[in-house]
Amino acid sequence: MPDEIQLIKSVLSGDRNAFRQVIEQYQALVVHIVIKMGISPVERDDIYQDVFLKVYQNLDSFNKKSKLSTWIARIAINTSINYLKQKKADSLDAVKDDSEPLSESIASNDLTPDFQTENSQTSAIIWGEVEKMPVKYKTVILMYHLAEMSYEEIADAVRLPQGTVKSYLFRGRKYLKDKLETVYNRADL
Amino acid sequence: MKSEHLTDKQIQEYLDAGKHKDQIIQKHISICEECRRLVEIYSALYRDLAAPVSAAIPIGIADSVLVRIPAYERRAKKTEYMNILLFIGLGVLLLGVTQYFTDLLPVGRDMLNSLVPSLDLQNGISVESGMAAEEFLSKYRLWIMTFGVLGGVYLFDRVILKKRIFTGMFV
Repeated sequence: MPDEIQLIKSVLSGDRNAFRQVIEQYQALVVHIVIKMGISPVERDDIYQDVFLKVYQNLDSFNKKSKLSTWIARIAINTSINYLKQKKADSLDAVKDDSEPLSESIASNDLTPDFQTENSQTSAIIWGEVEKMPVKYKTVILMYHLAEMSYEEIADAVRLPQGTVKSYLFRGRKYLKDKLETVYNRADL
Repeated sequence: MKSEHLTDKQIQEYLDAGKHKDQIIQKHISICEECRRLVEIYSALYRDLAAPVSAAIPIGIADSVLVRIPAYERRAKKTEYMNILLFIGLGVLLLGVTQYFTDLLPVGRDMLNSLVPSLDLQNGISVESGMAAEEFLSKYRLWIMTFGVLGGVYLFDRVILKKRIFTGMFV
């Protein structure tokens, strides 16, 4: 954390190499989020750049009480959401019938995961499933687990009632838990 | 508690609670094997979702970002100048509005006289300049007010809200 603060101070004083370090340190996180948010491969490079330019532009307003990774994750999620809204793709506004089971909203085709997490096969399966989820589900999951945002902060960021956010989060995780359970059961056989 | 099993929602709420876990649910988990199994699966899921990521990173992100920074800084500088101009506009508006309802010239004269008594602004040039200023204000009052209102909205959005609700659409 002290190193992080020093790095931020260097960037704010105009040290470009310090900002290069910031990018290199957090680019994996940003790439991960942008991919999981369902941004098409041809558009991703622009989003990565936009995210880091926003980081550069707003670094002076970063509240040093939180982690830099959390703050950057939020920027990456918000930038992706804005991009999807502009594209009028499957956005948070384009909410399907909430009573529809999540498993029916998700296409059954298996996508090849674009990455491997440090843990393993189950991680790859889980993130592969997250990638296939409707935007509203994956947004709240990414915000809660990667950006470490509270229910309240997520509700504020996505402008939805806290109850709705919790509902998406719980249903999304239940869906993932069921998938995980299937994997474990298969392994037991 | 409850002899029946915990729901998925209860288990997730239990895990989300962090250090402040519900003691009754905790006790149930300690005696119910089925619920404990579900808590373990959910815990594994939470770990996977929060795990550090090593994504396949495209080459040259840092270079492409650093190349764009000078243009970004120029734009920020331009916006800064715009803010200063609009701030001046807001000041002019306030003066215009105040002048509309009350005569500021004697007040200004008194202030200057108290600061620099040697100027003696009671007569001569001060009256002429005062007349010219008054004429200017009455002639361009509408423009000054429009400019000031737009400037006020812009400044409020950028400086107070910092969300660029209005200006983000144009700048």
